[in-house]
Order: sequence, then structure tokens, then C-alpha cells
Amino acid sequence: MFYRQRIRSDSKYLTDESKMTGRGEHVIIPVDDSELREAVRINNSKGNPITVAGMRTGVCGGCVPLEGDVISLERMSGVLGVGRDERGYFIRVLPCTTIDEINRVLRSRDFSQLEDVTEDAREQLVAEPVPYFYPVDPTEMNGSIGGNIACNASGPRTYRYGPTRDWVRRLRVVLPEGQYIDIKRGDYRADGRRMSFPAGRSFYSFDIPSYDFNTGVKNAAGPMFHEGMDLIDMFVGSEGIFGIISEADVYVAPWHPLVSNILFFPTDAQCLEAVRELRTDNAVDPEFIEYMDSRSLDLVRRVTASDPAMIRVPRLPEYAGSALFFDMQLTDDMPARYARVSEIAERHGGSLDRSWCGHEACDRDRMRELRHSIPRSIFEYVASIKGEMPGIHKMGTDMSVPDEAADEMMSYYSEQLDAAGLEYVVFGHIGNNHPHVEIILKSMEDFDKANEVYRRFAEKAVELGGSPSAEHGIGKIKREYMAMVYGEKGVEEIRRVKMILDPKNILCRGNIVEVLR
Amino acid sequence: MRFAVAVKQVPDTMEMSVDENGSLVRAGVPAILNPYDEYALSKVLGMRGEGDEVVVFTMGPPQARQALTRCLEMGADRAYLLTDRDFAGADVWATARTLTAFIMRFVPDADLYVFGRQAIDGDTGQVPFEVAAQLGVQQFAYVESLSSSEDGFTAVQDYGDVSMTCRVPRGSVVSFGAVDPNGTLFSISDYLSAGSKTVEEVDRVSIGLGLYSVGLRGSMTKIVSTKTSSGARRNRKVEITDPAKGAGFIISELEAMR
Amino acid sequence: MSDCSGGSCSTCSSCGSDDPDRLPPGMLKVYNLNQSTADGVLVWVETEPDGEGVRIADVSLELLSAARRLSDGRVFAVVFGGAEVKPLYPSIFGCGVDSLYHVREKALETYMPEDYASCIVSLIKRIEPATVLMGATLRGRELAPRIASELGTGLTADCTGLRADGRKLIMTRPAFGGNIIADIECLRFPQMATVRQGTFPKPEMREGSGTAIYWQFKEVVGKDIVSVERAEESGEDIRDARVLISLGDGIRDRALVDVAESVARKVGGMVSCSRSLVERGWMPRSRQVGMSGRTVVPDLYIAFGISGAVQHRVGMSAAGKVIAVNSDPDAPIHHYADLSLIADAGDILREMDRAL
Repeated sequence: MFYRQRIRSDSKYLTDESKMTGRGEHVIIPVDDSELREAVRINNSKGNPITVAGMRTGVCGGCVPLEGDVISLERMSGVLGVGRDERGYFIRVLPCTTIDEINRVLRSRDFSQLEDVTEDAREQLVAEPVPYFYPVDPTEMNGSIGGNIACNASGPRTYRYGPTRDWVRRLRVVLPEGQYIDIKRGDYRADGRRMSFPAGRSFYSFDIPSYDFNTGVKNAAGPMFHEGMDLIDMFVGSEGIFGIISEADVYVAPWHPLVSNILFFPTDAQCLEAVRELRTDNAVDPEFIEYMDSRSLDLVRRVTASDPAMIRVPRLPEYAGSALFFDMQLTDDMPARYARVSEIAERHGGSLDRSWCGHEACDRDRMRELRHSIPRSIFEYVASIKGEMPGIHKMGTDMSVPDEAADEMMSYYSEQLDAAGLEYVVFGHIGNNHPHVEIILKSMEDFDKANEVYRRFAEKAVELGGSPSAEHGIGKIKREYMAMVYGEKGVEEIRRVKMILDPKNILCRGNIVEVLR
Repeated sequence: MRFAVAVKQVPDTMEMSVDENGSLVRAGVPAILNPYDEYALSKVLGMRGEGDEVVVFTMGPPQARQALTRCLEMGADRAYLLTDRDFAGADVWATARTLTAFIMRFVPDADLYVFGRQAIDGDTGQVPFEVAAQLGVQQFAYVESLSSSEDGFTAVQDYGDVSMTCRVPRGSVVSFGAVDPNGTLFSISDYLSAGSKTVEEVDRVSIGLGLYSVGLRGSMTKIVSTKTSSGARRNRKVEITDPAKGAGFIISELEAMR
Repeated sequence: MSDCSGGSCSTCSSCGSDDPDRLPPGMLKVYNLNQSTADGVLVWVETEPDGEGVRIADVSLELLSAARRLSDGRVFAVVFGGAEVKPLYPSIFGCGVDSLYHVREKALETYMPEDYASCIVSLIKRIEPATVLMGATLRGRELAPRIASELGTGLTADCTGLRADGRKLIMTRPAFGGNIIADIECLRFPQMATVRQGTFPKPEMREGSGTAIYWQFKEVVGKDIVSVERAEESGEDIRDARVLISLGDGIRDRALVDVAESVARKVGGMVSCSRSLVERGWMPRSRQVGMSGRTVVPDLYIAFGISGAVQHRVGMSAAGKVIAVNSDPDAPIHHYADLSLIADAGDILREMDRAL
């Protein structure tokens, strides 16, 4: 038996960070795999929809139920074990373990409570000269690993380490009909576009969609499909529509001491020119590059002056027009590498005098603090201008494009927004050509304009070979972009796979594709 | 002009905890530059003009070099590390005596001797004024702002109930009263220039003090015993639905205290 | 120091080896030059402006009466000021003072640490007290080290406890952000300590009589004071309070500040706050606890609606006991509270005000 309770209309299980609210009947909180499977089986037999929730930190409504029950995995949390294979060390985790918790366990180097997945793995990991960490930094460190895998999360460090997908070794997935599969990367591969695998007493075999998932840019738009694909990749980024992740192995990486840097430039244009050079410079070799435009800096200046929550944000110098934030690994040849940074900075109106730098934790934290103060400042700002529309005060983009299209996309953003007369700030993962454009909405009219501009951005991103959802996923909120990227045909093909695995369409209904009955 | 800034390396007391047995957990607690000293140094660096020199010094074990390196990265020009086994166990008096002897030998001509308000591990804040007395110079405590003019400096001191503005003669001791949480960070240029600066080690003999003038032997106080503070929090959590009951809890704690 | 263990530590006075054998035989005696004659306790009486006149600081009153109990010998007091101090004589004597030295120098009516120190040193040399005490106030903490240094004696700052063993004084103080408590002895007379307010109970006001002596001090050097401005917020210092009712961001109704003031009055404490209330303009900066505010060490710290960011924690981690009231069960303050109440801060405050 498992815990099952009616959901009240103000329940936290009906919403996530997107602030979208849904409707649901019950919340089911399984404590282990067998309870989870039992719950799925019972709901499947009744044809009762279930929506899976973890830490509910998503921003696209992926865990928000539209009907039926919520399965919250909150009690299935914890690091189970340590293993090692030819690629390196990995850890075995339950789905609702947070990224913070994973890194805390790794940092503690006390694995006595864990099991050895491979022989002596714990001992070997402790004996390593450097600590290890889970390198995908989705910014929200309180999100669950299961949620991260389900939407193929990425973040600033994707610049060096790639998205979540690259770190998934093995998954245990409960399928919509109640069976489970336990698959490692390499276990099952599609034969051309034909995917076949056994699950319990069933055997699935179907044609995968005909599109090729765009891996050339940071991309979280829908499930991955391509010729000869690995079965595990079908579940990573599928937002729960094909199955529920109940256990995972993820690789970890050795940690290196880093130095954080912020370079200030007089103007946004100069700053963006510098990005192009920094990105391709082998000597600088940044871990990530984050951008803060002049509007962001001005907003932070205004808000930090009055907001006590911004207590540790370093005071911005007056000359700071625009800023780049990047980490570098601390090596013996820092002077030579910084000489390269200096050349690049000076070509574009900056200099090493007009910068910040720090390798001690306290300084690095404070630079991160500055970067994180931007979304916070936006939040404070929109709260202070009483918009006409309760609930919606801003709209944020999440689009990536290939390197060669970066300039075009950036100028398209400002052209369109300026033409529409909207107020906005731009900041974020410029290293991956994936800045967040946050549009501030002051009226209903702004809202309509922003919607129109947003749609044009998505179209432009796709046209330039990019993704309209680079890291947040599709969920329920961005579903319309699926057709934009994959065409009606692609969407229909995803639907077909969904109906083979989940004939009663019970699982995570409304995520990625709408299934009409 | 020349400024001499005294700093200290301290364990990050915010990271310190007490284990189940009540003993202090020091392992893994990072050593940092005392935040009050960092603030004082940043104030001095902020008023440094062309040709001015900022000298930092600390007394501590060899690892305290790290704190000095940070000072150099922040922009200080020279650093001295007063390190000697004989310095160990010094109380306020012995510390002040050692620092004073150092000052008289190595930076006797500084225009200002600058300190932070207190160290976060000892919280005494007494050393600056003992040094001032031993140097026989004026002292300026709780300084909020400091400006320089041709004939010296002007300090604004915050005594809580009064704010006092004084002219500071050259050679005085100044202790800053605060920290600035929004303070700025050092630049890549500063960081790189620290690479060419050196930390000079100074031992007891080179400041000319006898074995019984420094460290534990030179101290005027001694620790008779230490125990872990009841600061190890019991951390009992109670969910309160009835405010009256919650208020009752607190009131009974207040009464128990009497 | 991070690797400070036993005697290897070199710079702080808060710990160290207590192995007296390290001193050569007889060394202790050599240092205790005045041992045979030093006796009694000298207390510096700090005054505060009070309307037109002045009053005695609470901590000085506490020390005066404690001095009487700590010592079988004489209790001396020294006070600076002009004619306005005279009305205070009876209260000072009422605490058990035998001899009161009143420094009536025009030049010393404004506080100046250098000359005050020299003057008190001249007095100490005359009366040879075994112990010199002052309040661990801003001025006390600045003055005491200057005196100790001129006399070449030891000083224990910011004590939270004193006990006497004959003429010997055992001083207790917290260290390492309050994580450890150390008992400290001074190896030389006079033994000096600054003591935190609230360490001893405040005596009942009594009138008494004794000998008042005008102390002459002619060697005033002076200081170049440009101006002295009385701050708007004069008076009590949250660092001296034994009980603090501390308010944070979770306090959403300004009226609750008054409720808190009322509760604080009833329990004999003070109201402090986190940075956000200062920023909102609800509380003066002098009441702010934390990194950019003050470090407080009350016996009881009651945090209402304070989430407990490290910046705040650094200011109150040494408090004797911590009670946290916060409706957010995940607020970090709960990790370093002895008692955590998961409840609405405003409700509890109002209820306390009613019940007290």
C-alpha cells in the first residue's frame, strides 16, 4: 500500500515555479520502487491520469497536473552507492535527490553509508587526490536529479560539461503499464529508426520519429530521436511521457580549483564582441561565460541599494556598462592566460584593471551572488511597478542558436523589442548563445506585444538552427513550439510512440505533446 | 605616504560547529583573512594616492602567509609574516609587544598604523590600543571614515551615542569600526601583480625581543581551563498551532533564566 | 588559527597551553612585584548624559556592587566630570564604595582615551588595587587596554563571569564566536578585566556615604578634537542587553515593532533586528545585529521572523540561548536555535505581550 491523499485546491502539488496551477484529485507518495509500480499499475488499470512531481522547481509546468493524480517522488531521495566503469566514477541515486545533496555527499568524502556498486569503488573514490562533483549546474541546485534528467537540464557549466544527458549512465524506468526496465547506455540501440526492447513480459518494437534532434545547440525541446539512437536517450528529456525514472546512475567529474572573473566593458556591443573571442581562445579556456547587459547592471544597482536580501552583492563600479562573468581552472600559467584575456579585453574597451577576480570561496560566492541578483532584481522591480495584470509581470526567453548565428540573434532581440517599445534586460549563458531575455510587462498591451515578439523569437531561433527551449524544457507551457521545431508531422510521430508505450495515455498528460482521444 | 596595516588569519567561525561530544570541530574549517581587517585594508587601499605604500603584517603560524597573499592580491605592496615557534600562545600583552617591536624595527616611519576592529575568533579588539600605548601615540577607535589632508588625517569616530571628529597626527593608531558587506572585489591586475610581491618572514631574533617577552612566556594572562560553550544548540523543533502555547514556551524560558 | 591546538597557537589570547612549568622557577614571583601590597578593587565609573545632567551607566553600577562581593579589601571608584557628577556620589557610595576619586579637570570633561588612561594609571600607582574593572562598553574596551599596556599588566576583555579566589580573580570569557568558554587568570597585579553588561545583577539604588577625593591630574596632553556630535539615537546599546527580542523580514506589520518594544520592556530586554528592518526604516541602524550591524551576546536571543542568513548569524552566534520563531520550517535559523517554534512570529509576539 502507498500513501494517497486528496489534494486541496491550494496544494503545493498543483503548481511549480512557472506559477501555473492545475487540477488534481490525489497525491500519491511512494516510498520505494515497488510502491511506485503498484501505484502506476492501479492507475493504469483504471485509466486514471498520473503526473509525476519531484522538487517542483521546473518553470514550464511539467509537474503540474491537469487532471487525475500526482505521484510525488519526494520520499525517494538519497545517494545509494558509488561505482566505477571505463569512463569513470558514477553514483547511484534515487530520483528525488537534489543536486545540492549529491554534491554535499561527494564533498564530504564520507561514503561509509553508501554501497559499492562496483568492487571497492568507494575506497578508490576516497583515495582520489581531488574531490569529485556532479558537474551539471542547473542554477537551481534544489531541483531533483530525476527532474533534471527528465528535462535534460543544462546551465552555465554546460558550456564545458554538456547537458545532463551526457552524464546519465543508467536508468531504471517504470513504464506506463507498470513494468520496469533497467537500462545502461549501450544496452539497446535503434536499428536504423526501429527501436525494440523487452520490458517485463512485454516486448516493444516501433519506428521512432523521423526528425533528428538538434544536438548542435543547447536544446531541451522535446525527446531526442535520431538514427541508431540509444534507448536511454529516449527517456532523458522526455519529461515523463514515456516512463518514470525511479533510480539513476550519473557520472561525476573531478573537481579543480577555479578562479572566477568578471570583466567590465563600456557598452553591450563591445562586451558581445569580446565574447566571440574569449569563446574561441584556447589559452583562456573558460568554464562558462555569463553575460550581464547594461540594463541588468542598472537594475541591480537600483535594487541592491534598497533590498536587504542583496547584502553580499559587491558594489558595481561606475564604469561598468556591461559585464562578462567566467570561471577558469586555476593553473600554473595564469599570467600567460590572463595576458590573452587582457588583449581581448583591451581590444573591446575593457582592461584587467576594470575587472574582478577571486579564487577564494568567499569571493567566488559573491560574484555568483551578483549574477543571481539579476533575476531577483527583476522580480523585485516588477513587484514594485504595479502591473495591470495580477500574476504575470514578466516573460523570459530560453532560446539558443549556433555560434555563427549568435550576432544575428542578439541584434534581432533588441531590434524587435525596441520596435515594440518593451522594457527588457538581457543576461545569462552567452557562452552557449543562450541569453535570457526578460521582458517586463507593465500593461495588458505589453503582454500582447510580448507574446507576439516571443513567438517571432522562437521562429527566428528555429530558422537559425537553434532551439526555442534550450534548457527549461517544454512542459505544458511551451507546447506550441514543438510544431514550430518539428512540424506537425514530427509531433504526430512523437504522439504515436507515446500511444505505443502508454496506450491509455495516463502518464504526464499534456507534457510536450497533446494526445487527443 | 606609508600605511602599515595589521591583519590576522582566523578560522571562519561561521563554519565552526560542535560535535555530539561537545568538542569543537576545527577540521575542515577554512582559514580566512579576518573580515574586519579586510575592511580596514580596503579602506586604506581606497585612500592610497600615487607613490603611497601599503605594508601589511601579521603574526601567526607559517600558514598565515595565505592571509598575507590575499592582502597582496587586494593591492597591498609589501607583507611581513611574524612567525616563530616562540610567538605561540601569546595573549594581548605579548601580541602587542611583539607587534610594537616589529613596527619599531621595520616600519617606524609609517604615517598611520591601521587595524580592524577585532578578530572574529577572539573578539577582544584590544591589541590596537595596547600597541598605541606602547608606541606612545594617539589612538582612534571605531573609525567610520578617514580622510587625508596635507597636515595629516581627519577621522570620524562612532561611539554610538556621539560621533567625534578628530585630527589624526602622523604615526597614530587607527582602528576601523565596521565591515562593508557590499565591498568591492580586487581586479585581475591586482591579482597578477601580487605574483611579483613577496612575503618576508620575521622571527623573534630579528625584532630583538627576548624569549620571555613573547608568546606564552611573555603573556600576562593564562588560560586556566576551557570548556565548550553551551552554544552547541540543542535544536528542539516544535510546531505551534496555538500562539498562546508558543508564547508560554518562551515565557517559561525567560523565567528559567532568572 | 585553523590549526590551533594547545600551545601551538600564536596570535590569539583565547586559548593556549596552561602549562605553568614552561616558566622558569621563580618567574611567576618576579612578575608579581606588587603581590604583597596590592589589595582592593578599582572600578571606572562611566557616566552617560541624562537630560541636563548625567547618570551612572548600568554596567558600572553592576560592577560596583559586584566589587564589594568579590573583595574583602577596599572598593575604589574613579569618575571623570565636573559639578554634574556630584549628585551621583550617594548612589556610588550606596553600592559599597569606600573611596571615590573624582577627576575634576576641565580638560578631561570630554572623553579622551590617552589622557584618561594616563590619569587612571597615576591613580592605580597610588592606591595599588589588586583588581581594576570596567564595563565592556565601547569606551571601556578602548580605555582598558591602554591602561593595561602602560602598566604592563594582563587584561581580559569582555568577561561574562568573574569569581574571586582570595585576591586572585578568575575571569570567564567566550571565544571562537562563543563556541568555547575559557577561564583566565592574570599573572600580575593589578588584574584587569572589562566586563559585559548583565554579568552581575543591577543593584537596588541605595544612598550611602564615603570619602570623596578630588584627584589632581595636571599632565593633560589633549587631543585635536574638531567636533563632537551627539547622535540622534543615544542611550542603550543592544550589545549590553541580556535578553534580545530580535525582529526580521518575517515581521510584516509595522505595529509589531511596538508590540516587541512592549514585550522587551516587560522582560527587561531590548529589541534588535536584522538588516531588512533597518532598510525598511522601521528600526535604527544601532539596533541591527549581524555582519553590517552589531555583534551581540545576550543570555537569551529570541529571533522573530528572522530567516538566519549567515550575515545575521555572525552577529548572534555567541548568544547564550537562542529561540527561533519562524513559520518557515526550513529557515536556516532553526539550525542554530536551541528551541525552534514553527509558528507565525506576529501571533506569538502579540500573545506574549498579552500574557506578560
